[in-house]
Amino acid sequence: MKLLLLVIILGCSCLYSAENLRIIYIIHGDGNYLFHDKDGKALNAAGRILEQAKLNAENINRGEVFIFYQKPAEKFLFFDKDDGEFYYYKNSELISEETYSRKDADNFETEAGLIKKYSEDKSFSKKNILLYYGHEIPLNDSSGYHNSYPQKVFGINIFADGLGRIINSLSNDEKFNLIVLSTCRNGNENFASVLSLFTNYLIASPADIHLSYMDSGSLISLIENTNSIAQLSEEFARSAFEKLINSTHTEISINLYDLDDGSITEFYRAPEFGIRKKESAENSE
Amino acid sequence: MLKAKIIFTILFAFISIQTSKADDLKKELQKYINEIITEVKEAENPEEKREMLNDLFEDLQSAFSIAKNSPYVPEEDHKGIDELQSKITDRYYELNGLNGFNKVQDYNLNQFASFTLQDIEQADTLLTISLTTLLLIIILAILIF
Repeated sequence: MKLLLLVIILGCSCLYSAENLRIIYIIHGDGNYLFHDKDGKALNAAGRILEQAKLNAENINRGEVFIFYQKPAEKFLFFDKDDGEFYYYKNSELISEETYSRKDADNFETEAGLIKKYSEDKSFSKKNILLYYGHEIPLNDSSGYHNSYPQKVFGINIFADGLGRIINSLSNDEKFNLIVLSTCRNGNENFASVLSLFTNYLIASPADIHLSYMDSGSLISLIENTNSIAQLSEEFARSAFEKLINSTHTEISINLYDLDDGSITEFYRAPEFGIRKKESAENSE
Repeated sequence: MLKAKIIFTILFAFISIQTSKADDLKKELQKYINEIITEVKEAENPEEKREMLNDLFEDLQSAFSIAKNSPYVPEEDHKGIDELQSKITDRYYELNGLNGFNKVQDYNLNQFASFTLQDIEQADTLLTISLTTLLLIIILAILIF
């Protein structure tokens, strides 16, 4: 009887980890993502994120991972080369790798098409996580976001339209379980309000976030070791925060928004420098 | 010597305008600041570190001021320059314990130097500054001052 009970308990606790996942990485690499670590070593944030995304994809045994890498446009002779890379992994295997052009496509139009093409199960019965890496998404749609296409307009409304396009390519009227915005200053009420239509949880920074970005290396172990998307979201935010505070001297602020109940969990570390005496005194009160 | 510097500057500007994207110039500015920061960390005594940091801040301030007053710099770039200028001014005050800041202690100078670069890099401010303005700032900061 005890053994049966143990089997039932273990079975229940493993349900979440055994569940299929769909993870979508969108990496905006079409801009300046150079940064220097504490030792002054020059690093390219977008390239590092891509490597980490691939590594995660190769280690997620149950589920599918879509990786989109938007890179700078280049020409070969007089011809435009493709400026998007796409990788599709299923149960840790690389199933497809192709390139695409972003030049004439609306935001996330091609990406949504590729998700529709490759995703076998179009339903949202899986856990769905979307991670967006880029610079601050403007509140007002404006030009200049994409280095290769400075005239292209981008902003919160266009980003939201793109998210809607991705969701509709899978299943209408559903939501992501978690969206991670690894961008500067997008952790605010405006974004939370708009994105509440598209996700249950949102992780974003209300301040500047150093180009060492939100690390997603914790994802594999969190998928295995957490029992709910709420727990996974909180632990992901905590892990990204801890990685950032260990590699920077600047202010680090990451918020986790539960968009269903409106609560916010804050992770904050004040900058190690740059605080005036008066501010310092106020903060300590 | 001055003549050679001017010729080099004009040549650099010409080549840069022909071949560069704003992205490349932003990276050049970051690399330039990082080189100085690395030298600061390698300097043996605190006085030398302070002098190098003060020189960097003064050069950048001068470059920002001249760029802002230049007729070739568009009005929409002023906000970005103001933000960078404000950051550098604060670092100058902090290094020297002025204007409400505690003076950076000798043992903390290396960390402060890293913070200075990270503070500039992490903001998306540089994104909003145009190619012409960045080029002017680089010429002024790196080649002239």
